[in-house]
Amino acid sequence: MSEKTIEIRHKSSGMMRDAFKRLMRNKAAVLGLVIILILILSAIFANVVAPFSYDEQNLRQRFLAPSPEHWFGTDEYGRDIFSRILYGSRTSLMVGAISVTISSGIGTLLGAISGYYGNRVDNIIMRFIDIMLAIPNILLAISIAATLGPGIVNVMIAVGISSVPGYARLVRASVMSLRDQEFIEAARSIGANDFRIIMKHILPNCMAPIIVQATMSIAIAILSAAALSFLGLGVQPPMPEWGSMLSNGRAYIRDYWWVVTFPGVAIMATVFAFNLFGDGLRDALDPRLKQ
Amino acid sequence: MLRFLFRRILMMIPVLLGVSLVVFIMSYFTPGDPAVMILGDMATQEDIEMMHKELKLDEPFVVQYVNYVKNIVTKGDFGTSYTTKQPVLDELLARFPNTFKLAGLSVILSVLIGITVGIISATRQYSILDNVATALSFIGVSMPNFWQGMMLIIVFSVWLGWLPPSGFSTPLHWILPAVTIGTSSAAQIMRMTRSSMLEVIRQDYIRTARAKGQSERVVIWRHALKNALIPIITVVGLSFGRLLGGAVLTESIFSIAGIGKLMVDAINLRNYPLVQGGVLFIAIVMSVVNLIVDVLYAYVDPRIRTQFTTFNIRKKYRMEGDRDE
Amino acid sequence: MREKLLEIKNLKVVYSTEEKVVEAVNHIDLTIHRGEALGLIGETGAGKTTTALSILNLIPDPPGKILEGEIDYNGTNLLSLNQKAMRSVRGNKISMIFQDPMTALNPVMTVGDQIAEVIRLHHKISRKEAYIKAQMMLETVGIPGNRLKDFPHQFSGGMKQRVVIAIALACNPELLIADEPTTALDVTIQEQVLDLMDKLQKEFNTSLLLITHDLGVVAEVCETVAIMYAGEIVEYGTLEQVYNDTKHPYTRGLFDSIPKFNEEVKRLKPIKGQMPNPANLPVGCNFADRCPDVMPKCREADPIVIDTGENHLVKCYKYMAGGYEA
Repeated sequence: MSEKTIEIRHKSSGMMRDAFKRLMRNKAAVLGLVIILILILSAIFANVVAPFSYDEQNLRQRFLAPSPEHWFGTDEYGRDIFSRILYGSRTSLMVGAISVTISSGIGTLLGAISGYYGNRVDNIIMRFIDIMLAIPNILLAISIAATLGPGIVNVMIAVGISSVPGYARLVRASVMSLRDQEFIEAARSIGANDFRIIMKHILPNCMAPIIVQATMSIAIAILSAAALSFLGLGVQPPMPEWGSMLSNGRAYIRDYWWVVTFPGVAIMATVFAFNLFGDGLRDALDPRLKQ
Repeated sequence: MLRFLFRRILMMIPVLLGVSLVVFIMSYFTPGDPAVMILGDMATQEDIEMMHKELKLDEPFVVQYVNYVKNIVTKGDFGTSYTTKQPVLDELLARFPNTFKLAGLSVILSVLIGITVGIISATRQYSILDNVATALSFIGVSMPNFWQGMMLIIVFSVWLGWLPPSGFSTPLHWILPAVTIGTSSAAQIMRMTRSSMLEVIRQDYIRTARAKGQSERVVIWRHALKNALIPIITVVGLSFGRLLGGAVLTESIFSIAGIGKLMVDAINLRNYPLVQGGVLFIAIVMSVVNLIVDVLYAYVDPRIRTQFTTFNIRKKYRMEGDRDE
Repeated sequence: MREKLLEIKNLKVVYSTEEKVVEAVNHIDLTIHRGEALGLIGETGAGKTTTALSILNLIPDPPGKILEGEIDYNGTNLLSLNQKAMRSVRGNKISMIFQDPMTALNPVMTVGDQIAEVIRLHHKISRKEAYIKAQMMLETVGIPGNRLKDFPHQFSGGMKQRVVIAIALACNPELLIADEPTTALDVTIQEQVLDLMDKLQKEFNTSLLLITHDLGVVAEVCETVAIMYAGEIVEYGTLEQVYNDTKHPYTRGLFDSIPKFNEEVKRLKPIKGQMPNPANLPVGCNFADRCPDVMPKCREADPIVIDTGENHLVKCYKYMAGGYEA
């Protein structure tokens, strides 16, 4: 028994190493990873890197065009946009990470229960998922955020809950394909209970698609959070957030293009990086999918 | 086929009931008193209590919900807008044509571009064209569409002066909003078309078609595409939902009098009956779209068509399952 | 001697990927005469299918590439034809039956469409006439004509292969290439499909290149036999010569590894070892490592093809003395 466990571990670590090698050969994925790392570093060291503070107003310096001093220009209160974007990355990455934790946690749990027990439980959970899927993702997030009221925590909850269905379906499908396999039956035959079987035997075997989905949905979460903030349902001032920067700058697009351009580029670059990395990760973890 | 349609429509009912319940729960727990919303801050306590009676807000939750659903089903009454005092349904229906037109245009645009580019990419895998198209598709899905809308306004309206920045009256007005909403769908459809085609063109029946002496053009556009369509249709159906969701923000960017702008305004004014009605309305539209998608599957794939026309599908499957075990 | 229909000369095909180059077919020569049924026998991976696909110029490129050689068909080199000219050969003069009937038919087109398609491609006839012809073909292969409008998933495996045969023979080709046509079928169905091919081949006077790993199938249908090993043809001759006067050690190994009805054999003798990795072929004879009669010079240089008499060709040093260079 123990010998076999070791052998499997060994094999799986070999698989991970292969996957990592494949990932590192994928230039697009490496680019995505580099951008993500830069973002994380700039979020952590925003107070060191940023040339100005994020909420220091200087009404004599309103709407300055990009210059060597203010790389991305200044906004309607004379605040340095580059510094605000750097601080804003904290919010965006945090919202992305926490809402994905919420959605993957709930979604994985629902999907695992649904797929493992099948029948009636499955039916109830899946009908519930159908209901959530009948409302477009962003609209669901907007509705939840409108109910809960504005604020960063509520944004995370709203965005997290709205992307639960994707995980639930994904995990359910993987669990169903594993449920009847022999190693599960073997575990059951030595008296493992359902909880143990799900946690120890089934979920570790469907980690790859969950990880890929999580990476991709950080991208979607950041987009949704920006949209909520844009609607005034998100992060409240003076905390800098890319979506609310766009929302504030919207009134000035006729005269001051930079006010909305750079926060949007920041969102795009972040989402782009997570998409590239997630895509590379999927190819690396499941080489069969790659042509 | 009719049987299938009928059953499929029946299946929509519980889902829509569920949506109505979710929507109702959300507005029920939303802070703020609807009576105060309607009457304004100056209302007296008496007026407010009168309004509570009128709106039946004193009734228990279940009764209120049942009334809500009953009003929708029997009278088409989705409630009354707080701000305009008009029936919610009337307001929604007045704005629906614009949203529908916008979503429809974007779907057409994204399907045409997405499928064409996807096929070309697949037939020239790893060429420069394929790499450029793939890179663009990644950028396409990474842009927040409200921001994209603003950038298009800055470039094409403010700087170049080619296209109007707001409104939805003439075809010239349609271009920027349709592009804004359609970009991410086009990108997704392109990627799905590419991978689906790559999968299909390695199949044996494609080799059979070539071995018949068929030209490459017909092999790709007739033999391969029709087989690749199923996942593409799925993505198109899903992207319709994204388009409607995207319309919520894009309409307010371009000041288009559609359901999306109506709902954004309603959220800002805490006009909950309208928000509720709007979500439910969009859910109904989505269900119809999903139904169309299912019918399209049957149209494209004869194997699915056979299932629909076969009398007792479930039974047949069960028998096959038994045989496997 | 009958008229030559197709002559493969010095064909070399490689598949190259980033990491390695696989030499799938190594300088083979093969001739098919008009009306002849030639069996091409070999293990999986010996290069049989690659040879067949080369004839129709359908090697998937990339990764495949025909590096050298000619394929002469009625005096023209097929490999020098442009795409358009090549298309008028495919399905018309030379057609092919693929290994797996389950996947060889397009699932979203009716079988009628698929048979009529090849007819309309090569004959200038109306849609209606093409469908009438398609129906006739369907009946020729033993399927009721009223199933023309059915889709592939409504047929069984054996019936699908009949449809594939109908498509292949619809334009009355001069050469039919059948790539393991019965491997994917049940044994009982195999017999029916073989009989049908045999009958139609004689009826239409079509030449046949039958690719298989099944010695029995070849004995049933073919007059001449070529044995392929690691991208080379190691023995060639009439059915008589190869089956009753087996020369090459590999061919002998093949016969020893199948059960015989008329002899009491305690144990089958499989050929020991495995086919060499085609990405890394040994110096000298490719079979040397598995050969029971291996000699030192087998590992030094590649043997040449020897004619041991009456066009019975063997690629082996053992017969150097008795024969002459072919």
